[in-house]
Amino acid sequence: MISPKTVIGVVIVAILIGVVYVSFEKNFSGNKSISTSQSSSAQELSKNNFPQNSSVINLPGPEATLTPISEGSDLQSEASNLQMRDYSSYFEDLKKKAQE
Amino acid sequence: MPKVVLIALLLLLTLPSSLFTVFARTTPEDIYNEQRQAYETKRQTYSLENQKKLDQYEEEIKALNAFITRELENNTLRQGEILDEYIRRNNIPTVPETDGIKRNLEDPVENARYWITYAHEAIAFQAAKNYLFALTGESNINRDIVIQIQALQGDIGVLKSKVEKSKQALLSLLKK
Repeated sequence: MISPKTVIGVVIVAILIGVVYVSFEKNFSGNKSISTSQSSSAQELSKNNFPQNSSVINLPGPEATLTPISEGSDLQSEASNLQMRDYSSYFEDLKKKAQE
Repeated sequence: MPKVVLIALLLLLTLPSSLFTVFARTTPEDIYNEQRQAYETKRQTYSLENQKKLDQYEEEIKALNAFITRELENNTLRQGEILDEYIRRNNIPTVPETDGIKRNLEDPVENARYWITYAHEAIAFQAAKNYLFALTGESNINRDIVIQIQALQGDIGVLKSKVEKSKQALLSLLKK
């Protein structure tokens, strides 16, 4: 016959083991779900799998290397000259090719 | 006492392991992997030709995203270099790092730094973004691909506005 004292003891020990297990899981599992051992980082995937060039549309080569900013640089003009390309034609080309 | 420990261990062993998984955090990569798995299952039902088309356009979208984010990153890095040179020339003391909440954006230097960092982080986030086609059927394959190209186009538009905002913050500092 199990006494009430034993039952209380079992519950306390079970809670303690549970707490130790959960804190171990939080600190040492690398934030991964136990059931998804094959999961890999989406960021790593996308970085590693980035193709260098497109085969459907013509992307220009890398931009010319800019001269480093130095003491003699005109900062205002350097900042004003920072332009962003209009990328819309690449998107339109890609959409057009996808619909062919 | 050993009897108590033994019973407790037996009790734990009988608990389903799924109870424990509740405590493990679901990460964005887990969500992505789950979506990817569902996508792959659907993709397998397509003809080989269409599977190839999906793969090709997935790569095309990745290539375009990588190309644009690389250019925009160079732009914000250049903005950072200009700001650093401005700080050096004017002997502006370095502001101690804050927690990101207590910022003094009234200070034009800190304001420019904040918006450049903000744009740079947004570019890094965009560079790592994945575009999975929502497959609605083989007959809609072209439309499904175009929808993701449009999604990328929209994201790039938002990103460009962030880079432009950081440039304007920098210019307004340099004009002072």
